Amino acid sequence: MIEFFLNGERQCVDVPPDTSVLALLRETLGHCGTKEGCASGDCGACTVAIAEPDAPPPAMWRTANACITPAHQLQGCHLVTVEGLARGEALHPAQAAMVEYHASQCGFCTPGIVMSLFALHESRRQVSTIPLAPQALEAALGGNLCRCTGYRPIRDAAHAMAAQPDSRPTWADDPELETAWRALGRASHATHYHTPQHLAELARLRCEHPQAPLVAGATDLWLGATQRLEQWPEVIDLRQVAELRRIAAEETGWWIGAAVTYQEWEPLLRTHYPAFAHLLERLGSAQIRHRATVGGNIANASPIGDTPPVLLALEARLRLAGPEGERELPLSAFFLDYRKTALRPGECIVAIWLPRPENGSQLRVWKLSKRREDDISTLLGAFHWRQTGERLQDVRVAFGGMAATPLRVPTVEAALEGKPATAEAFADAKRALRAALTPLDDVRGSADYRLTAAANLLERWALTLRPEPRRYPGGGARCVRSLNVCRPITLALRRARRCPPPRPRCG
Amino acid sequence: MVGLSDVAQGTLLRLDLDAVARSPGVVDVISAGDIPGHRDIGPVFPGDPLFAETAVSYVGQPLFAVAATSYAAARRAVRAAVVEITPLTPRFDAVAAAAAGEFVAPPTARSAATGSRHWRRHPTYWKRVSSSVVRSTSISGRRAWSSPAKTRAVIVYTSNQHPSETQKLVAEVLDIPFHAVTVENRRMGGGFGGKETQAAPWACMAALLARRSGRAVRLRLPRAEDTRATGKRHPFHNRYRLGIDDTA
Repeated sequence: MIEFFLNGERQCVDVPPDTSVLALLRETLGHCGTKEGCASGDCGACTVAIAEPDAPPPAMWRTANACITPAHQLQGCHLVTVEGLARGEALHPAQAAMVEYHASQCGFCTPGIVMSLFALHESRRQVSTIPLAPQALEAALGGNLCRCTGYRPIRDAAHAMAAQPDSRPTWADDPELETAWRALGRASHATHYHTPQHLAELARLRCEHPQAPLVAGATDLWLGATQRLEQWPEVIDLRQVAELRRIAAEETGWWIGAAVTYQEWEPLLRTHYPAFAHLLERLGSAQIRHRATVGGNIANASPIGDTPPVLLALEARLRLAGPEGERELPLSAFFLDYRKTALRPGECIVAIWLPRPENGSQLRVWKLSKRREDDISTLLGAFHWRQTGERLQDVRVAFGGMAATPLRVPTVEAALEGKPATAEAFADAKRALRAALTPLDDVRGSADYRLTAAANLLERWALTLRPEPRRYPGGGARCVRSLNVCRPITLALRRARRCPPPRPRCG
Repeated sequence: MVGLSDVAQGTLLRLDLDAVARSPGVVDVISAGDIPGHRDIGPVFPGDPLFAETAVSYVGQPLFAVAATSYAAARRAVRAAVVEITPLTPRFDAVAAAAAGEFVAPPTARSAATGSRHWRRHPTYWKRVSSSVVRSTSISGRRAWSSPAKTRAVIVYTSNQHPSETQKLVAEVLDIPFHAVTVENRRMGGGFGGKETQAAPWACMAALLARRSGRAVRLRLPRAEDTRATGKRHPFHNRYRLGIDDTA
């Protein structure tokens, strides 16, 4: 039994634990405005907006891909779909702007785009006079694909939203409604969908249901249901386990709960590790980042998971808990082989130790993928170092997409440790790289491409260490140190001449 | 849901659908032998069987279709099929296939010039242009909904760029008059040419299942199957001769 609010109306439904929000909407409740485009969390046609009781306004509405969100996670929440935006005949500003700018052709992506724009509009209601920055627009729409329009009219509609008549949905600004849905409570009433509140309860449930999958964001795991047709008669949800939700600051770093979402990591990273925060902008989409967790990214142990190489370069640690108690492990000891981890039976990741950056330490992270947003990496390189005078110290080099697991490459590190950042040292490093790694050919890249590209990332790193700006053939100096800061906006948006390319920041 | 071939080219030896029919929720299973009318739905030339019979010609070619009480039940039931295909060696290179005389359609020649002497008198240039595979797709995959109507009639809602062709094919497959088939495209969800001829197979299957079961049938392909089962623009190799004469 799930109790939640949908477009301002109370719902009480009973569905199996492996039902998605999309299936609940379309098949159980007959709300077909939300579309299925891929059932994989890629295209965004199924985007809905969810308000959870612990999320503070104004960014209360968080988009999600309904196709891979467990329906039971709606317990105690307010779900809004495209059917819930208009007030009678009066369209919500997101809808009105889309109409005015002809931002819909076949219409199939439109409900999902409208929901992303709805969430963006709501989050900006207090700041609507400030023009929408390209980065904010990309962040809001990066997880919505459109085959027909080429995105420009959608971009124009997004910029025009704030100027539309402010029509509020029928259910909005109703204090009684706010109280009503927040009073429902988050803990599951369903017999087969479990929401343990503490580690002890989690341990007991795992003993009772050893086959039950553990879900948090479920953004990769749920594809087991939608693509591989797996069935889960019991599901254990980690999102309310208190020990997995804490961020505890200590003198030398932070213990960050495994069920803390990417969105919740972001403020901390922006302050202390901006290169890591920049990576998150390219990880998945807003819909994914609102729900997916770093703990899940690690436990999933995919060779192309995006956070493990960065965390390896930062020498992160894990706290694990299981039937035999708690233990700590360096992340470097966690990945044993392709999708094989050091987790013992009954163990789970409780928290991740993120060290505070040391004085003078630096981090660069570069992700290579075909799409700028919403794409799985072909490979990813993370580089950590400190510069003392001319020499590189504490060199740590990690890659994803180059082996069966994410990994550091000790021979590359040794080639650079204690050396000045010369062409010779980096040539040694590149040779060491090619000798150490034998990546696969797959649909995202050949082995040769991966080796070449990884060596080129070392070269890119070397270029950022050069003190003087380089002149490129064809004229024009360009400050190469800006390579991690210069953010060209998505090519499709950039072609609209109204948006000039951003100026690289130098110095 | 539709059972698709995993083999690019081969001979279908055995298609055992008993376990499919016995799967939970299954109402009906059809293959080539269950088609009352035309088995070939080639829109311009023949050679496009609704379900493979003995020759398997591409990965993703439909072998059978199953109707069940839920989408998930139908998808699961498909996996119970026992399919034996003797693989043959597929040829993927158009130039090599042309050299071996393996043409999709008989070669045709058109020329504005009159006779070979005309070519010999003037400068001529042989040119080649090639294009590789193009896969274009829409956010909405292929979908069809069908319901039996009065007597032999049938209604088909189909995401479709060529409803009248689908009307013809559904009528021919079901062996009923054209006027007994009503086809409506309610919402395309994107076409890009991929639903001009390739909307028809799913409309035919849904209509046949609806006719047989007496119930409304919804057939839609999940994203992965939609991409696999429907056509791409194949690589093209074009060799053309250009001549320049002295007429104005």
